[in-house]
Amino acid sequence: MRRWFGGRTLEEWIGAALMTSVVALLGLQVIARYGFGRSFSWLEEVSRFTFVWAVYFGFIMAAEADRHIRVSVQFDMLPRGGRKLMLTLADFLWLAFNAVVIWHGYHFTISMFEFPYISQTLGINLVWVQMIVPLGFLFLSIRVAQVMIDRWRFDVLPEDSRRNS
Amino acid sequence: MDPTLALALSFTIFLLLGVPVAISIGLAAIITMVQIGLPMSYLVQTAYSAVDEFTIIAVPMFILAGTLMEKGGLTERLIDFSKAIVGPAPGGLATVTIVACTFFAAISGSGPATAAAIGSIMIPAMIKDQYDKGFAAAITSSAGGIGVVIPPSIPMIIYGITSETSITALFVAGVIPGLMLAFALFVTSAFISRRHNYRSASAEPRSLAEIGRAARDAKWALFAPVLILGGIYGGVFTVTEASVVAVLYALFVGIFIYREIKVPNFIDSAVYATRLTGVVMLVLVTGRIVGRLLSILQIPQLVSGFLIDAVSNPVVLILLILLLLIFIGMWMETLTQIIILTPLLLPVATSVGIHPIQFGIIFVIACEIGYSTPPLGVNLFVTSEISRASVEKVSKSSIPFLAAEFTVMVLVAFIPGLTLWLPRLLGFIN
Repeated sequence: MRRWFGGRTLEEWIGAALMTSVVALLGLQVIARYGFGRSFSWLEEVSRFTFVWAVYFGFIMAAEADRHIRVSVQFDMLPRGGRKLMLTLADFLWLAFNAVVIWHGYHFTISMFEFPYISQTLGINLVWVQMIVPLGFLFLSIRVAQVMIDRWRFDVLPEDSRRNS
Repeated sequence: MDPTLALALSFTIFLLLGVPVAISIGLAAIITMVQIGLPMSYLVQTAYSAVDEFTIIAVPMFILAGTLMEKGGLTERLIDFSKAIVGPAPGGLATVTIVACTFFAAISGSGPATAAAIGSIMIPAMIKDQYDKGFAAAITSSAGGIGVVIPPSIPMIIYGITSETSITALFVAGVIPGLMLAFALFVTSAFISRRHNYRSASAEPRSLAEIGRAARDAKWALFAPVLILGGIYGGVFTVTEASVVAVLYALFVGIFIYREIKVPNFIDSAVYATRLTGVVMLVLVTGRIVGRLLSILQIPQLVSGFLIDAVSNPVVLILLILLLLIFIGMWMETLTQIIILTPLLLPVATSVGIHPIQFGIIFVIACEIGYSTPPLGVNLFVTSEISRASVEKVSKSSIPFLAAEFTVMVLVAFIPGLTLWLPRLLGFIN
């Protein structure tokens, strides 16, 4: 899979940067409140919105590494080829799910441009944050498709994704 | 077909086909939504609103804090301090493992992370001192699980959000059961160690001066739980704020005091925490949708009605719930299990008089046991890899520890005071 500078993918850089921003924004809020007795109400909203984007990049990062949790004990008796076949079928179903989310997400986004929903403290149209739903699932689908192709090209099966929580 | 049956059946089929758990839930939800005529825009709205929640930010923050503290050199100091307290008693290194895991649990919110951090140092040390490999791995696997029972705890945050109970109250309620688990493991391991005569020639005799010196060396690590948990319990920080403080503290100590955190390992930690959050949150998103569908279809009432009719004796019913939690925990990933089962089983538990906070702790102990049970016990994999003992051997050596943990779980289920006394005392529940 295409690696960006530093041996990391683009989504890893963006995701890590967004998550670091969440730490910085909330850290600023905590220090401002407990250190100086000040509080900025817009900080909470900005950090929440940044977090939403970070999570969506997390979805993509996990898909790129094929880490989303699957139940796979039932495949243990299958030969490698059979396992790859089942996973390919499973990933087509995944793409189908993504297609539903992208399609309805797209229409939802368009409707939010027409009937804006204004955020409480920042006063921006929430559509700019909410847009990540169809966009994120679109990028996610690209990574899922890449993993499907690589599975056959380089004979890779998902790593043990049980080491999670 | 009945929508409930369709939901359950399609979910199982997708799961068996190898579709990721989160997507299996989502696809089953789509089928049900079409059947009962719910608009698809609901799917999109939930995909956003389930993530846009202030409390949930604590999950990646605690993951990040734990990773940074491990990379920042706090683990070794905690272990040295535990060694100084325990001294050369029989099975001393096993006890050190339990004590160190308990301290680490008060910093980390994850079971496997605790097992990996402490195990990577303690398992080789135990094997070097002639402890049985399987025993060394098994005690670390079980003690590592305490990481989720002693706060902070990621499973507790997920349970709190799913069941709409106070996460702070859960964090307080976990303390006594967590210490009981540590004690139960200690008794079991001391008994086994005495029988096999596990001793460490390398352990130094215990002295106050030595304990004092080790405590001074470990002071930055020991202060972390005081700051994080003290802040939450004292009502100074919310859980999310405390998680951010934990990250800042880990960064401060790792960069300026121990000087072990550099830019590359910070980026590693941030990438790791973000990816793991992606894995967890995708399940949470689709789990939210199904949770809503279940309540529209009134499934929780149906399940609890059925169980209460079928089993009239409350004691039997409680035991049944415990075994069910452990059995499902053997097969399912921890957080997924919490997200899916909480809406179904919480009404049953409350109907037999279990408080939602108490049920949360019972659930988390079940998760702890699940980490060390085959076929999908994460801690078994972690410790078997470190010790090079087979998973089968570690599983077999784990049996006495699992029995000890189950005993604690039963006590917690039947004695409400163990979980509810402390949060009541501190005024977090009435």
